[in-house]
Amino acid sequence: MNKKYIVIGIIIIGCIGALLSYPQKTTLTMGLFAGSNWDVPSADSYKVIDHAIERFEKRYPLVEIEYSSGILKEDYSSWLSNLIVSGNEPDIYMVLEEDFNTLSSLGALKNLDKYIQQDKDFDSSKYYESALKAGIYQDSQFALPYECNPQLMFVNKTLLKKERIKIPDNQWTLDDFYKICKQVTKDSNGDGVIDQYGCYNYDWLDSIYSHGATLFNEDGTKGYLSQDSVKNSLLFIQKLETLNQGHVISSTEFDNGQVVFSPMTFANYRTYKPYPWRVKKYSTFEWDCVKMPSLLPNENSSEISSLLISISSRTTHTKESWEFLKMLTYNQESQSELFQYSQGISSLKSVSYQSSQENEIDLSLLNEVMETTIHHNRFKKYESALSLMNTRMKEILHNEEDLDIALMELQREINLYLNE
Amino acid sequence: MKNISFRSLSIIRTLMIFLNYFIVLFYSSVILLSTKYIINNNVARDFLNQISHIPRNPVYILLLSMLFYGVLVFIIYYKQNSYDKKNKYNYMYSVLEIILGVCIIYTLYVGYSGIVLLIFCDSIFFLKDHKYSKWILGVLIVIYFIAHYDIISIFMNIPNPIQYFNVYDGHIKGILTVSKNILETINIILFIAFMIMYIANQIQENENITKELDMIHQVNKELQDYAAVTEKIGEDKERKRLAREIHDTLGHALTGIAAGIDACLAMIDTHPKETKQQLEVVSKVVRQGIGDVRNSLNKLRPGVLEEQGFRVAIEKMIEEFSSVSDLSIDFHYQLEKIDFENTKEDILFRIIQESITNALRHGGATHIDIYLYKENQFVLLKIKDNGKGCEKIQYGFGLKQMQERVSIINGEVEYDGTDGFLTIVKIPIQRGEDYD
Repeated sequence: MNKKYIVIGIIIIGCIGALLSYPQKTTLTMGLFAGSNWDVPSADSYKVIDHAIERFEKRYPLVEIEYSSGILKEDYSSWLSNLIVSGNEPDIYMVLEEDFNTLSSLGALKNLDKYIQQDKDFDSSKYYESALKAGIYQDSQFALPYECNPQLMFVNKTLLKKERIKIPDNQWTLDDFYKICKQVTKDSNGDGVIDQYGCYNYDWLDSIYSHGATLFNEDGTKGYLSQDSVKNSLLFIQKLETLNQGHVISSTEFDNGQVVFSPMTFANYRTYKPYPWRVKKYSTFEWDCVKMPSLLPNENSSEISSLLISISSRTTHTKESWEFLKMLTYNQESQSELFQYSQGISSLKSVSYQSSQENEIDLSLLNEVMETTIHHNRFKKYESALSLMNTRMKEILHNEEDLDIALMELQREINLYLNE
Repeated sequence: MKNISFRSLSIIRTLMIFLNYFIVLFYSSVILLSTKYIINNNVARDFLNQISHIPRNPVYILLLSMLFYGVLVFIIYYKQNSYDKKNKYNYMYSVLEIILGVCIIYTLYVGYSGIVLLIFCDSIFFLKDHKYSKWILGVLIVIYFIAHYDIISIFMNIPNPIQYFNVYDGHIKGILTVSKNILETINIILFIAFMIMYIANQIQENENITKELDMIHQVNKELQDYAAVTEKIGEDKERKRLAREIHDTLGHALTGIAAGIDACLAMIDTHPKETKQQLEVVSKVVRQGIGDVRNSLNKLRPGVLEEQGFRVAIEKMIEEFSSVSDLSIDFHYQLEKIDFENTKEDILFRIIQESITNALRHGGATHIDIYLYKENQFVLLKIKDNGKGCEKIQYGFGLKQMQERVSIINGEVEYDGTDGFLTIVKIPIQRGEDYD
């Protein structure tokens, strides 16, 4: 009688063990959006991912990857938030820069430090430092950069040639920038109204970055607005604007080639530089891009935005997710396809190097830009504090308030908000 | 009386069980419905800005909290039905309940901690006198005080449950908040009612016990009085018997002797011969008188000694003691060939009796060894108990009397109170007593 039970017990345990150890197919879910992250036209947005999935599923036949297609970038944040609120977020998902701080502070993203340290195949120094830093929240890596988009300076070559000015190189400074602006701002057809301008859309934040100023302390508990560098940045903007004698430059004037400079993202550069899009925009003049000007040559000067990919902190397939994350962000093949199908730049140095040669992009510009971009401190209220600051700064500049007093007030306001 | 209060406590507890069910259901439903509301109104991104940690799947929250609550209620009723006061592990039920309570509180993001009050009532109800009950109630109080979102969120990352109420516009939010507050207040009121009933119940019980104690005291006193009266009567009786005995024997003999001697005095000069005869008669009367006195003394001996002999008498006495108390007594008798005179037997018997009584009364002993044996020309009696003993021996009436008694038969007594209590009596053997 007893023996019978023992035998039955062994059989049952054996069955359970067999069931558990039987290789089961895991399904990884992924969250991503359609189109380009950089708001430029993009036709092949899923191609890179699809190919990566294909290669991944070939290498790991027991893992299947699913994603829901057709989510637009503007709906993505809300779509992802809905899933997170209901506890059903995908195992691995793209994170928009403006969501990164909130999501990592909420603990929605997995801390990747452990995997980065343990994985021998993974070498984080292969990434551009600034790109990698975009995925850091409070000293820990929570996301890896999939694609980057540095800020460049658009230069109207035709206009400069007409004024006999040399195209600035990547070492140029804010002084050079101001000099050229001053030189080109004039009335070219002699009707008494200025119709040639130095710079379009260069705002206070660009100036802040160019001046190498920081806006917040590390923990995001204090603003640093009463510094001289912040004041100088605003003074520089005011100086630039006085050149235009109160005229506000419109986008039509820029499109017509009446403006020499304008900040432009790398994605825009890549989209509108080659055929077919070059026909649509800026077709009446020759143009190119250079690095953003800085206070001193070779200094950090421009901002970089990144599209990040993270693993959900609640995923049950951590290992598979990490492998797939590597396939997307660390795999040479996937990253080089980015150049083909997307408009950003790979966050891997080697890939960028290779692709820039294939695509005839000025490598020195790219390297220069990627190596000198600034990393900004990340904290939960970063985005909202920045937007609050933006509104107030625009008011200050518009109303030509006394900078010292206005900045001090704004500093207090920001500190209050940050410590709320 | 007791039954009524027990029943009302039970009713309040049942009400609390139902109420807490509604509150847990209410909280988990609010979390579920608010999540639906958030998703339908596309405010998830703003909601994420409001909370401090990602929320769990609300369906799981509902199911889990209901499951935990179900198990908790099951334990509460299972414990009630299979309650055994002597079971040492009763407190394990309470520990289990606390664990489940903490699980429920944690599942509901520490929004509701009133479940602790229910467990408190249940534990105090069943663990009244348990040695761990104070600890368990203490733990519950601590949990109740720290189980608030503001405190827990310092140590743990959990979303703020209040934010689920805040997603609605003013009207709905107001209704939800008011309902929540009303439910929680009712729970607290029920808890207070339970505690009042419980304390009233305890006071009543204490009063009853005091009353009963008073009664026992009274009866005890009456018994003591009765015993004193009985003793007095017995003493009187004994005195009368002694008087009668003396009157009947000694009195009789002495009167006879006096009369005989008077006659002798009158006759001695004239009829010396008759006087001699008369004196012989007197002598006979004296001897008879001695015999009578001896007989009278024999009548005063303990009954058993008279009837069954020394050894059996002691064994019988030991048996009587053992049967009325927890005492176990080993009697080692090694005096087969000695025949004591009655006085010695009496004294030894009384000493043993006194020692056993002392061991019981003063030493609280549970075991006594009694040795009676011969050594050289002495009889030794050793009585050893395992009681408290005493470092310094105080000679009360009992011990003194023992000493006096032993000295009558030329013996010695020693006492030792360092390890239990030891009494050693040494009596010389007189010629003729020993048959060896």
